[in-house]
Amino acid sequence: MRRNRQVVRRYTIVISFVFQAVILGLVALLLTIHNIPSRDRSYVSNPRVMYALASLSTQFGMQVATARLLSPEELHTVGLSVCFADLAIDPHYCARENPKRNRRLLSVLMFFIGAISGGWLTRAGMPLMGFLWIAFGLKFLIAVGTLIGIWDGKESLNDSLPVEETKIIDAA
Amino acid sequence: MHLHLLLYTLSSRVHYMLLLITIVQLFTSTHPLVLMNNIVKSLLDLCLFHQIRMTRILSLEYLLRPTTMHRGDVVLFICYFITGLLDSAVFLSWGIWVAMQTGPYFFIGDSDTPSLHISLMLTCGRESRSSRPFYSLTSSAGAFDVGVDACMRNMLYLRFHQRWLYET
Repeated sequence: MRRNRQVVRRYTIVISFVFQAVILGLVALLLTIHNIPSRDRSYVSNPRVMYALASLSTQFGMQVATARLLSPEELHTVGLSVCFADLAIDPHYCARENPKRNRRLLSVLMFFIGAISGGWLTRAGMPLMGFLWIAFGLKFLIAVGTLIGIWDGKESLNDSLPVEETKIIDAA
Repeated sequence: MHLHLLLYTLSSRVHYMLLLITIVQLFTSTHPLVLMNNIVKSLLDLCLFHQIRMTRILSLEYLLRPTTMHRGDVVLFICYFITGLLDSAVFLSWGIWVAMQTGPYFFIGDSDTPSLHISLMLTCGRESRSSRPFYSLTSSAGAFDVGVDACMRNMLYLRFHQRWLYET
């Protein structure tokens, strides 16, 4: 798989994901202390549910904005229509090495796994706050991983170091 | 052949094993102090394995330097998983999507859905069949109806942070 070549600053991604995690955590906390009803189909009549939906959507908007920085082929992480269309019009779909196709197929798979597990866990009786806490933890882990640089890859380990440290590593 | 390399790889992945054990222990009746100890240990191991020092992380220069995240697509896959999970769960419990913004637009045409006739009035210039103005006004105290409100919030966020996005 070819590597990502987008140049980003670390703090933008860290701050964005921490903020998303904070929003998710706040909504999850409000659900945990039963401030927001966990099961309410008449969503418009309840302003608390509406505020929760609005903040969750804002959080997903931030996720889209951050995903623009991380993907050269614009995987915007909220829908799959564009993904399917790009897969269909890809001329090198059956090629052996096609990193864009691989990423798109993996995205579809991950979305599918998430949706299936969400539906089945809801049917098994898991409350909504559980999902929100899971998402909170994942986003926080993404922020920590970005901070310590585990998505950087082996190549960029040296170029993210200061010059003196690079020399020391080369000598060693 | 290259057995020593394989052994080295296996032995250097100890922190991942520790993380897995910690995740399993989350669902058992482990003492929280033990859990915390394991989490801190595995994170420190991770830092050590990737040759990362805490002083470097805390330096401003490290944070502000433009870097290439070669494995940034892993973040996207995790985000896709989160989206699927939350969208299905929220739709099953509240009856509307939060991530996909195409779906809520279909509710604009649904006249039985209260408070959405505001957007219908704005777009078409006429009221819907079951118009309940007070109800809708009180429900849309914050902003418009749910879907359009969320969409607008997203679009406003993208609009005002364009510079912040493409500055790098």
